[in-house]
Formats: sequence, structure tokens, C-alpha cells
Amino acid sequence: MKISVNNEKMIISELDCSMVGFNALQVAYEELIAEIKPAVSCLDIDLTAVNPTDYSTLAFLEACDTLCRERKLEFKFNNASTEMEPIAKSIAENFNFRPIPKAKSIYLVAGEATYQLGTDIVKLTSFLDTLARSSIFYIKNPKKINWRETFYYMDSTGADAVPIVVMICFLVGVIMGYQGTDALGSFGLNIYIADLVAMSIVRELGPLMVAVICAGRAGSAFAAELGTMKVNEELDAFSTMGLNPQTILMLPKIIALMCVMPLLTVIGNVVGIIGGGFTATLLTDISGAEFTGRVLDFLVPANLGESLVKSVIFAFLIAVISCFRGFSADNDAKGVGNAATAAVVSSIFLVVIADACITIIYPMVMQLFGITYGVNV
Amino acid sequence: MNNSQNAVEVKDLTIGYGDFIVLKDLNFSVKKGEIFAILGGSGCGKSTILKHIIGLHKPKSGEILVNGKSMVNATESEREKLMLEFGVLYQSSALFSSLTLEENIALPLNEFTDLPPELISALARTKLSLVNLSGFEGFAPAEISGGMKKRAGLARALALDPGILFFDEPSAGLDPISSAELDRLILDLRDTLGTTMIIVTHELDSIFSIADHVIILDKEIKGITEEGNPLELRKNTKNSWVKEFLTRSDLRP
Repeated sequence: MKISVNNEKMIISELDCSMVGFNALQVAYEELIAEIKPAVSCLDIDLTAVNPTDYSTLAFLEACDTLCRERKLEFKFNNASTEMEPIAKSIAENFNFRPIPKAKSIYLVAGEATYQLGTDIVKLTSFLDTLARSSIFYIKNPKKINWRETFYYMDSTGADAVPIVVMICFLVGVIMGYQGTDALGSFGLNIYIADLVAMSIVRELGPLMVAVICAGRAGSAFAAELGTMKVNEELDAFSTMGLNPQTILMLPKIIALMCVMPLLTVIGNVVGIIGGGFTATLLTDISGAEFTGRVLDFLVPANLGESLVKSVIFAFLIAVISCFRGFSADNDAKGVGNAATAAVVSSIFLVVIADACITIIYPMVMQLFGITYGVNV
Repeated sequence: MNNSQNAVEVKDLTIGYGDFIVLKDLNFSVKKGEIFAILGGSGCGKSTILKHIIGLHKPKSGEILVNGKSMVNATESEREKLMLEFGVLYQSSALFSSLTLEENIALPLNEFTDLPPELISALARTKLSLVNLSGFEGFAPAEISGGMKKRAGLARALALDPGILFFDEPSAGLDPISSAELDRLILDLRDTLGTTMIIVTHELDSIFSIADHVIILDKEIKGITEEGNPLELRKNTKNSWVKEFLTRSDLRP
């Protein structure tokens, strides 16, 4: 390659990058970058002896083209052979081939997000419609439910989750007990640690922790499974058999999760209270018997009721939203990953919102029916 | 009810995604018992047409008649009834991965018939032997080869004795011998059961050996360039693109 600079014009001739490997290409390009001065306003390339199958040289031309666009230089070809003519032309002309993406305005981003939210809600509504119809159908024909699948999901989302639920709830109990010792111990109210642990675990943290674990385990699994089935055309296969995939695949998952989450919550509650008792007896002078007695005195059936009501509702939300995310996954590997993420995020979000609502409404309902609930009622 | 000779009739069909039109103003009809092939270059909308005919997507405009009944204006339950006439072999076979081969085939039978379990299992095993898969009843889809998956998919498509079978690229990813076997099977099924077959493909060998009628789609005109018997088309076509497509000029001198 020969480079000559003539005032504002830079001329490249005897261009040949077709040596072994990419070395020649790199050497030529680096030489060009070194020689190009700010005063240069035109790059002229002599294409004698360049042929269209020399891809390294074509890549060099492409790179020069990009460089000229960036620096706003004039880019010219000379002496192109008849085979090179159309290629040189296409390199010079594809000016708009790769438009530089412009930053989107904040209004556009906000508008698109709102639109996305709107379509999500519309889709979710029609999805719930399908769910309601299929539930009615299956309540009338309970034999048509795929019970084998249902038991399979009970096993994978329930039994397999017991160790992690036990571990997390025990630790949460320990933490509550420790925090309680710190706060209540300074007033000499150590025995109230039992009240604190029992109330927070049974009414709030038990169902919530189980819901978070199930959203992470079951929710992501549901979404990934359905998303993969979509990619494999299995959902289409159901449709063309005249079966509604949403109906047939969703119900076993929902039933299974609604059955096992209350059970997991009961386990979590018991283990959590044991965890709290463990810290309390270890750090203060309360005996195990005193702690147990205090817990049993404090808790009323309505508390356990709240725990179970919450867990059933959380289970429904997690299963439905995760299946919804799975069914609306994009048709590729990335889509399945995004669906699993979205399933966990939206599940936890909805669970927390539902938790807030139930926490407020439940005592009111209990009061309405005159059922003993909580300390002040 | 017009012309019950035709298994599928497509009238002025325009299809696309969003604002993008893939094919417009399509007209063709498939006779009963015919092996009908849809040909075309990559990305010209072959599979898309198939998905519209089997009712997975709604067309932008136009009409699709299946056995003389409208697919486009049908209610959900009418469409589901029409779909029972269909058997579809997907490009990826689309076997249900959590079920064994026998359960895959038994699934539609369980859903749409009241047969006792022994009979359903017997039917499923018969369909598997029809596609030379006896002995693989208990295998999961992940445990068998690609060619076997295609055949199992075909057995499942045949489960409810459909009147019309659709194939989305049946020989994609198969070696020449397996794909010839599949062609043989398609011909046998047509001869024994009289099933109408609609095949989307660009495997030239199988088109010339099995298809009675082909339509060739072109991306540029977004429609059908030529149609007719494949062998006659190859001989008589005046369209140079079609000629090149059907003869595939050899690059080696």
C-alpha cells in the first residue's frame, strides 16, 4: 500500500491486504490512521488490482468508509475493474445502511412503557377470562383434570421446597428473637419476645417468606417450562388438536400450588417460632416451657386463619402470573429467560400488594363476625 | 356450501404481522386426496400461510374454507371442531417433552373420545407401528433421534384420523434416506387412508416424487408466481426464477 498526501487530498494506491491472516489488514489500517492529518478533507482510493473476492481489502474499504463518515471526509474510488464497480458503489452508497441509533426522548420512553402496561393489562384480563371459563368447566368435569400432573407439581413445588422453607423460616425466627431481645430486654420485658415472634411469624413473615421462596422456585419454573413449550411449538400443537393449552396446562399448576403453599406456611410458622424460642431461651432467662406457654396463650385460631388465607391467595397469584408470563414469552431463548425473570418479579410485587390489603381487611372481617383477633380486640 | 371437492379453499387471502404484509390476495384450492406442496424461497411466508390455514393466526382479510366451512368467521367452538379435521406435523415435531411417545399419541384420544384406557393404548401403539416405531412406546421424546421424532410427530398427527394433514418442512434436518422414508410414508398414507396432504417445503427431491400440485410463492410480488404439476412446471415454465428454483443450476462446471 502506498499513501501520498497532497494538501487536503490523501491518495491510497497499490492497495493489497490479501496477505496471510489479518496482519496486513491491521498494518494498512494503522498506517492510514497514522497518516491521516486534520487538514485532509478527501480520501481517494485507487482500486487497480483489487478484486471482489479479496475480502480483507473489502473490509479495509468498509473501514475507510466508516472513518470518512465519522470525520466527514469525502470518499472516492478510482480505477475500479468491471467486477469491482458495483461493490465499490454499494460501499459508497449504503450511507443509511446502519443508521446511528438516536437517544429516545423521555416522553417516547414513558409513552411506550405506558402502552406496554396497557397491553399487559388487556392481555391479563383476557387470560383471566380463559381461566375463569376453564375453572367452571373443570369444576363440572373434575375427572378431566390431569391429576397425575397435579401431583407431580405438588411434589416438585411442595415436598422439594420443605428444606429451604425450614432453613429460611428458622433463621427468620432466630433474627426476630434476637431483635426482640435487644429491644424488649432493655425494658425487662423479655417474656414479650414470645408475643413478638409469634405475631410477626404467623401473621406476616411465615406466609410472606414461603411466598417469596415459591415465587423463586415454582414461579420461575412454571414460566420457563411454558415458555420453552411455546418455543418448541408444543403450545401450537395443543391448539391444532382443538385443545386450549392455557386451560390444559395451567390448572394442574394452580391447584398444586394452592394445595401445597398453606402446608409449607404451617411448617414455616412452626419452625419460625421454634427459631425465636431458641434465641430467647439462649439469650435471656426465659425457659422453653415459659416461651411455649406464652406463645400458645397469645395465638388465637384467627391468626392461623390469616396465615392460611394469605398463603392460599399468594399461591393463586404466583401460579397465575407465572403461567401468564410463560404463555406470553417471546419465541426464543432470551424470551424464556425474560419470562422467568418477569414471573418472579411480578409475583413478588403482587404478593406484597395483596399482603398489604389482606393485613388491613382481615381484622375488619374478623371484627364483623365477632371473632377474637389480635391483642387489642 | 360450495364445491365439496375441495378440502381447503383460500380466497383473496392477505396475511401479515402488524403493519407488515407478507402475502396478499392469495387464491388457491386443494382437492381432496391431493398432495399439495407450498414452495418458495426462505422467508416468503410459507409457514405463515400454514399457520393461518390451521387457525393459529387470523388473516388480515380474505377467506379460508375447510371442507366448505369458513375458518375465518367461525366461532371459537366451531373452529375447534374444524381443527379436529387437522393433523399437523411441526417443523420441530413439537412432541410434549414430559410425556412418553405412547402418551403423546394417547393425549388427543383421551381428550376427544370416551374409549377405555386399554383401547386408547392399543390405538396409540398401532399408530406408532404405522410409522415403524414399534418398541419405542415408553421412550421420551428427548431419548430418540430427529428422524424418529418426525415420525412420532406424524403418528400423533394421525391420532384422530384427520382428513387433512399439514407438514411444516417435514424433511428439514433429516438425512436423504430418512427423508425418502418419510416421503414413502406420506404416499402410503395417502393411498391407504385417502388423506389430503398440504406440505410446506423446499426439498426438491421430495416435491418431484410425491407432490401432485405445487404453488410457488415469490417474496417480491408477495403472491403466487406459478402453480401446477411440479414435473410439468419444470419442463414448461417460462419464468426464469421458477426454472432456476426447480432445476437448481449446478455451480460446478
